[in-house]
Amino acid sequence: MTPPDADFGVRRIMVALDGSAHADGTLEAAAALAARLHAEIEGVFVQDIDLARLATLPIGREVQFLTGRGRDFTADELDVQNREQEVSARRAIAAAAARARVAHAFRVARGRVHAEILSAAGRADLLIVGIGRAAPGGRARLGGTARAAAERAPGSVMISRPGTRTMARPLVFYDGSEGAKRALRAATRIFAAGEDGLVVLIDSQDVDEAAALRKDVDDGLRPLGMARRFLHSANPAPDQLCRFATESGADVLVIAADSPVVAGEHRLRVLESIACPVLLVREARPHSSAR
Amino acid sequence: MPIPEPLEAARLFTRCDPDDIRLSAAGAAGLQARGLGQERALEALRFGIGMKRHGYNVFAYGAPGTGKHALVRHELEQSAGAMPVPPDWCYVHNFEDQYKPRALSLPAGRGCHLRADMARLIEELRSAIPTAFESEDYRARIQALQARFSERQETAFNELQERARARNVALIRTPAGLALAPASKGEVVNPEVFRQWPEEVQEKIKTDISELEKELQKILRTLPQWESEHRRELRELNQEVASRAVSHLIEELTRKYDDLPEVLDYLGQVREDLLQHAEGFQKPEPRSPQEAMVQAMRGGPKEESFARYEVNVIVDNSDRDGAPVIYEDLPTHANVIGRIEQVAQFGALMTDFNLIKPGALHTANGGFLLIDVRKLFMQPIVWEEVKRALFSGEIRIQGLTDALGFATTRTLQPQPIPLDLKIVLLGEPMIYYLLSQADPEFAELFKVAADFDDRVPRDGDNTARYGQLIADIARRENLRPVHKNAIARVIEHAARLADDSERLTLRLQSISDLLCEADHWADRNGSEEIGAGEVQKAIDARDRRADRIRQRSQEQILRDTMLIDTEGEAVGQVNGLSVLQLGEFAFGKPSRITARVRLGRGEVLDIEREIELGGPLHSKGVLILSGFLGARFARRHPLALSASLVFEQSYGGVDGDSASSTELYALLSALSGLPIRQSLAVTGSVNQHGQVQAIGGVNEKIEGFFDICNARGLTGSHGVLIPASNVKHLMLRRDVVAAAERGRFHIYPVEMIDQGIELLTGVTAGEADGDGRFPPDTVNGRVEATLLEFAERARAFTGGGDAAGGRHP
Repeated sequence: MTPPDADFGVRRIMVALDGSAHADGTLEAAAALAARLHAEIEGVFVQDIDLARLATLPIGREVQFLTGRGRDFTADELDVQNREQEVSARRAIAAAAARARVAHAFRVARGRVHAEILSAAGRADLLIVGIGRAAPGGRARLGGTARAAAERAPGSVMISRPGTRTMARPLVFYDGSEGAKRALRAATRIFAAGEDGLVVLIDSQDVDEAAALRKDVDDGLRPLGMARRFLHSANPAPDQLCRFATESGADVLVIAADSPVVAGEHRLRVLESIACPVLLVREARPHSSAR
Repeated sequence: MPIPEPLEAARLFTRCDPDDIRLSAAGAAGLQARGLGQERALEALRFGIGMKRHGYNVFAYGAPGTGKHALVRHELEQSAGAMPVPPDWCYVHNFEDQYKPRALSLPAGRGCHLRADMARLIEELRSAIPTAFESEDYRARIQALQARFSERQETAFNELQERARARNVALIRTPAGLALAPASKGEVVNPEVFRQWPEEVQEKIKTDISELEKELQKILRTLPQWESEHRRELRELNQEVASRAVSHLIEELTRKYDDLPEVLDYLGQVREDLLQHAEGFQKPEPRSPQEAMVQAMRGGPKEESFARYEVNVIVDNSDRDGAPVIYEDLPTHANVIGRIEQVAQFGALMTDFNLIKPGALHTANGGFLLIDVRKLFMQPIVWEEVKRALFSGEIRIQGLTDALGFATTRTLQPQPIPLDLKIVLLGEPMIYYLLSQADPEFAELFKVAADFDDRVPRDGDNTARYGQLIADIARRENLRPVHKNAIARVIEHAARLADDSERLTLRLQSISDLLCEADHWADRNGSEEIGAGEVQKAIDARDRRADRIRQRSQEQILRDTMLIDTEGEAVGQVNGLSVLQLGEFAFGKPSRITARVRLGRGEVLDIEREIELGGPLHSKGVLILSGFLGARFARRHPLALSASLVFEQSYGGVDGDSASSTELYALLSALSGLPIRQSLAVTGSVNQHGQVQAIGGVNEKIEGFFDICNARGLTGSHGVLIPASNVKHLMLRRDVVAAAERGRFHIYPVEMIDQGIELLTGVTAGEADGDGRFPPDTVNGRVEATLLEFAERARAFTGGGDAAGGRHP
């Protein structure tokens, strides 16, 4: 394989914010990453245009999860909510950046949320998005923004989960593909300072090929002095992949965004079932550095 | 009444003939000797042991050092050996109320088995349960359940969304719920556009939104029910899986303990609890509080602990033969009643049933518990708790703060354990009498008093048994063999310790100490056995170690700082004798007692009492003197006497009536004007009839005067007047006896005061004639004359007569 290099340079990390506690946790992890990579973080808060329209429509109705009752959804209420969320998000990113001692920026956009986030992602090397608000049943389900980011973000995207605070023990899915190599490089670049080293999930149905892949990874990591551990799989189903993550003790899964194991519906199942954040690695693209 | 002759030397000290001592090998004879003189106490103790009714606990009391503890313990162990071994007791988790641990009783030895079995079960569960929950089958079923639950929700929302889309309504997420809004091409319609829609279209979509809102509300109301069903299905699945892993393990134990219904019930509860909480055992438990803290800080799920299936064996009788006999030498509340320990976790004090520790009541349950009552009363509240346990017939462990009723944090209330034991309290008679008088519950709970004697008659049989006892003590203490002569010397000393030549002390601690000390001297002498010389050396050394004050006292007399005459004669002055007790050591000390008389109203003034140095018994003795004088000499005229009595140079308290005869001699001398021989000393109390009565410490008193006379040089005139009734108590030192044998020192047994006054003055006491008058040249005659003169003077002084030149009526 190509030796790990600095081609996964991260100078700006974009974080989608909605003022929730979950986003605060994501921010902490993002700030820690930024500190490690000497990058800056930028928070984006989107005022949802659909909600704005709903609030000004004479017949817009909201049914609350908590009470199950319907009520009018007013512009005044939306304004208050937007203001509170914006202030909360602004404070959160400032606090997280101060703790991690990294530069930060905060931007408010107005439009359709996923479109605005994807647009903003074009200006960053890494986009971090929360998986979505909890569904009425309490289970984290992939929200529209996270789904859009996972499918269409121009660069690498990390889907974080409630409770995400640190990411120091990555599990890298490696099948020898270009995407897998990119994911491995990203993992070494982003998580190189992790104390526990890497866990590499070698994917191959052929024993010899698996050994070769392992050697390939071993040779690439050895010069970096990184601790590594290997697991083996053969084209794992989404549930198996999630189990590998759990049993290896990983706190982040690093996988190429175009890997077959997270293609199509599999992506949704992995992202909804896995217990840790997932970094979907895409080829780095040049982007505007304008702010 | 004739003047008594000095006692023969043989009566001053009753020897023990070594030939009277018959020793046998250790064993039955030793055991028999051990109960010497304590037959009454042992009989009471055996009665208490055998009496199975409530409240027949025993209070064994007697003087310190009488061997109560060893005898009681021996007796209890004898009885306990024939009694059944009591059951083991365990505390286990109470699955209905964790704050009230459950007590389990098992046959002796099976408590530990249950503990080991449960520990093994836990070890197996640690791997069996996670293994069961890691199986592919379980995962598949869990995923199926979760998928069904998700699908159910998603289907409901998706169908609603489809229906909404079909009616041009968008279902969108708001921060707090879901909203319905008119839509066009998947987007919420711009309000401006909406207002341009025809009114009927607006109305139509408004109706549609209203209907969809009801459907949405219905779905949201149904969600909790679906969640509840989902949780129930998960629980049932978990229980099914856990049951497969657990049931055969529990059944194995159930078969093993099928003869113990209580244990079976407990195991049933363990099984139910395991199934109820099986999912909590899927992850490894924290191995330390620190690990638990880290888990908690990481926000990890609360995991169940296997510790609640452990068994805390608080009473293990597996190695016991018969019933227990427990001596609690530190009867604190915790040591007697038991305690609930706590451990600090994250700054808070935590406890559970595994931290329940037994007290002596638990370990002695089914047998006997010995406690020194003095130590018991040194500890707060324990006595009340012991009584409560005996009354209620159960041991209820509670902390000291609970028992005192202080505010406390929530803690455990272990299930009380039935109590069935005998408590034997060991103490002194005074405590027994105080408790009998002051604590009404005491008599209800301690109905048997075992009264240990401190002396035994010195007859032939007892002397033989005493000899055996001495040999037995030497063997128990791993001392050298004791020669017969030495045993005889120890027996003589035992009589001296009993202050009675016809009794032997049962304060065996002193005898044991003497033997140990004699053994030490034998060791120093390189002797292979303890001889009479070593015993005497031990006695002398013991006296020597303690006699600094005696020596100081004697020095003061010999250097004439304290004025004691041992030669010549003096009027109204007698050598009295007193005893000073300094711990275990006592010695006699001469005191000069003087009397002065004058005209007065018939009172004898006790100067000691006037200055509050005289005790009540001494005052009583002095008052008796007035009675004696009045009855003998003032039948026909008033006792117009005023006399004062004093212990000269006495600066401490004086009590007891043993000097009353001495004081009477001083008075008679003062009244008669006859001088008293100072080479004699006197002890003995007197009654109103002039009879001299026995006193205590006769040996020490005699020796105290002897030492002074001996130091100044014995002339053959020296001696002591003692009550004749004290002769049987004489066990004098060998040097005193030797001096008596040589005729250099004399002991006079006196029965009546007239005998004593004749010895002291050398003048006949005189007997009253038919008219009650005494011959004029006798002591009594001279006293009578003086008192008559006083009476006449008094009458003249008050104008009642003419004899003394007073006024006539």
